[in-house]
Amino acid sequence: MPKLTVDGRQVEVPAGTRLIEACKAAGVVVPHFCYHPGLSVAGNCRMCMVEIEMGGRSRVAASCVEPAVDGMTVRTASPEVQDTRQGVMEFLLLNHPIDCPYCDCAGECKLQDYYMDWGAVDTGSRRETEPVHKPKRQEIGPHVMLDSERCVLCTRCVRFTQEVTGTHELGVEERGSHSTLHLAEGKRLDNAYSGNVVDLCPVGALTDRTFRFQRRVWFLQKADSICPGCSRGCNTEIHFDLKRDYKNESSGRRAIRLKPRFNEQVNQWWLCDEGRYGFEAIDQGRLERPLVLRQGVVSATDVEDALSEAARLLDDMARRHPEQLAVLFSPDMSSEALLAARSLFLDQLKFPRADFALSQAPAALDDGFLHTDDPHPNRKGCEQLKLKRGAFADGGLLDEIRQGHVKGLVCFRWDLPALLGAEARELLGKLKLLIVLGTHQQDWHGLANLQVPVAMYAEQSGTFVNVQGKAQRFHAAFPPLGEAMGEVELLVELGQRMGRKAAQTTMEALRRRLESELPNMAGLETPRAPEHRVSKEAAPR
Amino acid sequence: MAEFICFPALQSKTRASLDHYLEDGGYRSLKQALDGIAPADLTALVKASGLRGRGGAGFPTGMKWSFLPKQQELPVYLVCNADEGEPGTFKDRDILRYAPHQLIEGMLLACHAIGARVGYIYIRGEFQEEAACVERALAEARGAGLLGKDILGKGFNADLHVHMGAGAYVCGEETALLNSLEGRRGLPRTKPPFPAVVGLYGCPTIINNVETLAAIPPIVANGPEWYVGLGTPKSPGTKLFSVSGHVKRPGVYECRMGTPLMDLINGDCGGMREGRQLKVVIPGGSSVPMLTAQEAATLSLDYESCMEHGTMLGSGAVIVLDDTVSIPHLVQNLGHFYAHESCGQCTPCREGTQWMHRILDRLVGGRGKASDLDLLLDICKHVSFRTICALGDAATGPVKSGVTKFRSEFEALVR
Ligand SMILES: Cc1cc2nc3c(=O)[nH]c(=O)nc-3n(C[C@H](O)[C@H](O)[C@H](O)COP(=O)(O)O)c2cc1C
Ligand code: SF4
Ligand code: SF4
Repeated sequence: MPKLTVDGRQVEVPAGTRLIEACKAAGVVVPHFCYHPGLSVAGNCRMCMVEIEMGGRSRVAASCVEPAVDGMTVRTASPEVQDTRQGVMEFLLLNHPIDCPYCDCAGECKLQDYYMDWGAVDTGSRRETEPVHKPKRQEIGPHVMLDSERCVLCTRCVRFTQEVTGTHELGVEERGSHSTLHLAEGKRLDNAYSGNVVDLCPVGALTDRTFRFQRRVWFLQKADSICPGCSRGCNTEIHFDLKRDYKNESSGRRAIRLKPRFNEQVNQWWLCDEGRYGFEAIDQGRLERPLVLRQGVVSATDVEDALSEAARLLDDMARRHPEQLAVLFSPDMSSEALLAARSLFLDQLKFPRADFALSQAPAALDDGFLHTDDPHPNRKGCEQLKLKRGAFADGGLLDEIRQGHVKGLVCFRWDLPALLGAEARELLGKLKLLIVLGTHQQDWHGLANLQVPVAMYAEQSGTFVNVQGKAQRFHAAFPPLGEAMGEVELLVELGQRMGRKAAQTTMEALRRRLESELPNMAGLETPRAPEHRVSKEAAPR
Repeated sequence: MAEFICFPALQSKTRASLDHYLEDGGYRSLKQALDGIAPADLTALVKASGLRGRGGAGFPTGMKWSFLPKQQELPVYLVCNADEGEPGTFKDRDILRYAPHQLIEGMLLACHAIGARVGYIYIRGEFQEEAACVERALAEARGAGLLGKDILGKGFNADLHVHMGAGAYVCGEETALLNSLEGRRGLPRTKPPFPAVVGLYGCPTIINNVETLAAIPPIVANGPEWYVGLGTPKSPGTKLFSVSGHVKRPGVYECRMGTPLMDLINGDCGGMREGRQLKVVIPGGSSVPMLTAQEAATLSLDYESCMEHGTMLGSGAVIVLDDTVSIPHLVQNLGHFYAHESCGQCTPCREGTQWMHRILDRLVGGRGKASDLDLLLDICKHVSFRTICALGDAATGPVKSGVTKFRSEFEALVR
């Protein structure tokens, strides 16, 4: 293992380590545009030049290209290095539009940040009066906008489409100072991971069409989360803003964008477009307050009334016809919620039918990369808690309703007609008791005696077990919308009203039980609290 | 005086065919090597001859060959760099035209030494005629059992193929050449790894200039000591010089290393045009620093004298210019060339060459500022040795030397 000295600090790294990574290991972040640990080395920006002394000879070299060699002395901020960086900054800014006030990348732009650190050139007097112009505002794909004039030609985006997606939509055309980032002929940047190029772009050349001009990034709060879009459970950051409404189109929206959060074992640096752009569901079409059906009329009520009503209806049926009761769990629920639901409905109320279902929609895409063919974030969690996926979940339920065996149903989160077929609508109408706990309004909900609003993943804390069996904790970014509550809280309250032991439980108690029963639940990292966070160097970019 | 010692066919210009080459003793070195010089010994022989790369960098050829990994699963490739794009350089063209078999023999010897079974000749896109000459020679060699399977009946297999470039100067840079050969954009690669370790198609590859490879048959035929004796201690052998500019007889001349520059100019080249004075010499192709007439007077044509004079022997392209030449115009012309030919990959070269070109344009156009001169030198400093390939450095050669050595001419433009 080579041992080297970086700015006076000793560090030992595995053989073959790039110098830029060795510097990082020594606690020194070397500024760079084109280098990215998830992509091949291009070495083209020349920003990461450092001074290397070896065997009495000293030279300046690109730290992303150079391998760490035993005995090297590396200086990352010597006068020679500073001069190199100033030169690179001046070259990059020579033709770069200085339109930071309305560039979407302002606040998370490497060019902007490094200018403050390393620029210090009075570009005003040396800058050419008439910079080179290139095409602006090009919609190169459904999610991404390109401004070629802002592009620093680092080729990160090009390498992403070559090496990660293998879709080859992007390339550099022309030569020298005419070099321009371009779409390949006849192509659009329209692949399932296209949004990642926006994260990769170190400047404002590639911007997110959904996010453009919605917020200044420095007003965003950031919370660690897990994508609920499929069983991979990609690690994300939810970027949100509860204070400002600049534009009508974003009014009422709290979640403004999602960004991938680095996790070596799960998603590395990436996130699929489906997950990335699925955040609108957090703020749209939500079931915000409890609704109760009385004498054929659906009317709003408060949580207190809804829970008492639920307790009364369930008690009544459990006393008279316990054999007619069924509960349907969802693999979109957290393990904590599943455990709380299992305690109440199976252990305490002894429901004869308590299953979880899996979506019957056309199989989701297993793309061989991140997205799996399982659209639920916590199927493994259901299985770990020994919940059954009985015949009843797969359509048997309808037969049982038709034959009059099931007359009372508690349904978590499911869109039942979508799950069971259009026929469900008619048969659900035959039930004596239907309680739905859901996140969104659905057109068949009018059939339910009670609709109880449930918090989304961004609004509550919990744990999902991903396809690899890895348990991952997520935390509330912001409080639930309207009167929605997390399932655990709801179940505790409901149990209390029914005089059951489950009433004694708490989130902490549930977690302790999960930890003692399931080895993969032990020692989970607690996500950081939501905060204002500068993200550029926080994740390896 | 020029003597055509290693490249006799360049003097006659009529003996390119296989028959002529065989008559002149061609392919004897190959036979000799296949008969009894082991690959490692051939490499040692080339090392002992002191042959240095004639493509521009002057890297010792035998040493380059010995950088190939010793234990090796992958095939080894030989690539001949016939892209010859450096302004002022036109010596490889004569070898391709008049001595193609000498190149083929040299490449086969190199294949034997480095263990390559396939070699590529990457020929500059504009060299259509030269490529036809090489193709003709390859066909002749193949027909005579000198190329392909079981060469000369000695069980040695090696084949050579021609690949045409598409007109970019930067594709003469060895790693850009490899990308181009692979069908990619001609962008130089970052090094390390060097081509000897990871080259063509990811395999170990030796890239040599046309003249380097063509010098090998005479070295093998006459022995390394003979070659060493032709030149100076640090620059053995002879070298081709392509002389252009304001001399009476421009052309390609072979000189012993160490020949005084003025002997070449005033001897073979017949001196300056009538009534004109020598003003400036660029001794090694457009990329190397220019010399004033005074500096040129003491230069001899070898690596060490060039170094002492603060310039380089480069590809041996001697550009001789007389007192009709305006240095700012000259520098502007070359500035345009490099800005146009920069591949655009790395920041300092892409932006720096373009910026220098703009400044030179406005200086020559009478729109410059006094501060532009130091700005040019500052840009050079920010480009040199900070780029992926040597094109960036090359672009600064004429600017730095021109502005420093002929500053008054530039100052006159901004007064
Ligand atoms: C911009 C650029 C252009 C070059 N063009 C040529 C060329 O046309 N022919 C050539 O032989 N070498 C050229 N070279 C040098 C090659 O990179 C390489 O050093 C050479 O082919 C090695 O062969 P040698 O060791 O036999 O000289 C060029 C280098 C640079 C940086
Ligand atoms: S668009 Fe962005 S990521 Fe792509 S090459 Fe340009 S600067 Fe780099
Ligand atoms: S120095 Fe110039 S030609 Fe060479 S890689 Fe960089 S941009 Fe391309």
